[in-house]
Amino acid sequence: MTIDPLPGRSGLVICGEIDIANHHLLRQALAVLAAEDADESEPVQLDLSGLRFIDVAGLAELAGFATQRRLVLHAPPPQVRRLADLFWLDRKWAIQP
Amino acid sequence: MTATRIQPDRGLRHDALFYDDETGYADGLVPFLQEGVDRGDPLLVAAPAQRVELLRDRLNGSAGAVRFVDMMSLGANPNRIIPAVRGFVDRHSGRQVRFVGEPIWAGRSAAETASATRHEALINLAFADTTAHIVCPYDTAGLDPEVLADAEHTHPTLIVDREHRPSTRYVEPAEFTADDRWPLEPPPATARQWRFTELTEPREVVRRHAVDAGLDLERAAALLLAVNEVCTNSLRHGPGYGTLRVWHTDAYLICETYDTGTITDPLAGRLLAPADASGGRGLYVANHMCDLAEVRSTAGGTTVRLQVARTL
Repeated sequence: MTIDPLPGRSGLVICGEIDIANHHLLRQALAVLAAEDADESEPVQLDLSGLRFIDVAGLAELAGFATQRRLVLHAPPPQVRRLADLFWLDRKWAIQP
Repeated sequence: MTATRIQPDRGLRHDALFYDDETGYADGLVPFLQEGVDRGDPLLVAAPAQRVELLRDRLNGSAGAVRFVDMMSLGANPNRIIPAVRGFVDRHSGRQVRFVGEPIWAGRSAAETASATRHEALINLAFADTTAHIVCPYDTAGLDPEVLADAEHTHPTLIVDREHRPSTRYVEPAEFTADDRWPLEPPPATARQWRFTELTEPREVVRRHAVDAGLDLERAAALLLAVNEVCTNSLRHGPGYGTLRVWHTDAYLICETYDTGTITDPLAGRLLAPADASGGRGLYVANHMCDLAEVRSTAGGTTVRLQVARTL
């Protein structure tokens, strides 16, 4: 998995696969983003078009972040919407194709 | 003066209704549902679509008060029924919910019927703390005698010819569902096997077989996620490694994991863990992603067999 800043906007580009082996890296990256980017008026953008897989605990990290900040998930892997509906209907995140 | 009313039973009621034709079906269920409508009870019916239509028709003007669900969809994997009904009961907390659930119909496979039968027993545990009244119709004309005998094992009360009587053959659910009493069919000789200590390889295996079996992207992704979550359990809550077996039949792609850990909660995977709990979601997700999820956990280890249909 690789995590890079999103050029020009507040957010991240996350590629590869997220599972039990790298949740901690995702959590760190989100924590750094939250600390460095204090402008809460704009939602945080996550470009997930290069993300091949994210497991439930990985999505839980994003859901946790979405309790503090508005979040937009761009092009998440298949089944993310279904998982979001199953566990996190109340989150303030948007999922865009 | 306050009218004296008979207090409804305070605990769970779980009845098996034996019927052999549409008249018996309607006669058994319509008064139960109509009484619920009159009392203002929350009402949920999950039955095969044809039966749903029959009840809608017979309830006539009252049908609008009933929530109908196609059991062939909700209960395709019977392990999904309890979480759905639990959600309904919890949304109507403090009220007496009436639920009609028909999880077994003629033509279900042996594996599906076994899952649905175990589900019936687990209803007694999952709703023990509620006042729900649950009636499960059984088609005596279409179902095998063993299925009907099991209905007597899994329901404290039987309804036959409109007579209610206690089931003398009722078995405590923990005993009835004991996993060593429900052995899975052995995998075929063609099944392939991998040991895993991480998850990249299991996912590659599943992706490859999903393509070979002709799964569409949606179903392939669902199976991939389910296998990943179950394997994660082996790494996190189990011994840290496990075995993945994969095979297919004409109709299904099947992935089975085994590890030496033990699951002790018979309701594991059927009740929703708090959204941000660190665990407890693996089997729940697997149940929602797969057409069937059979879990067997004994002192010798835990087997989780997941299957998805190759085509719809």
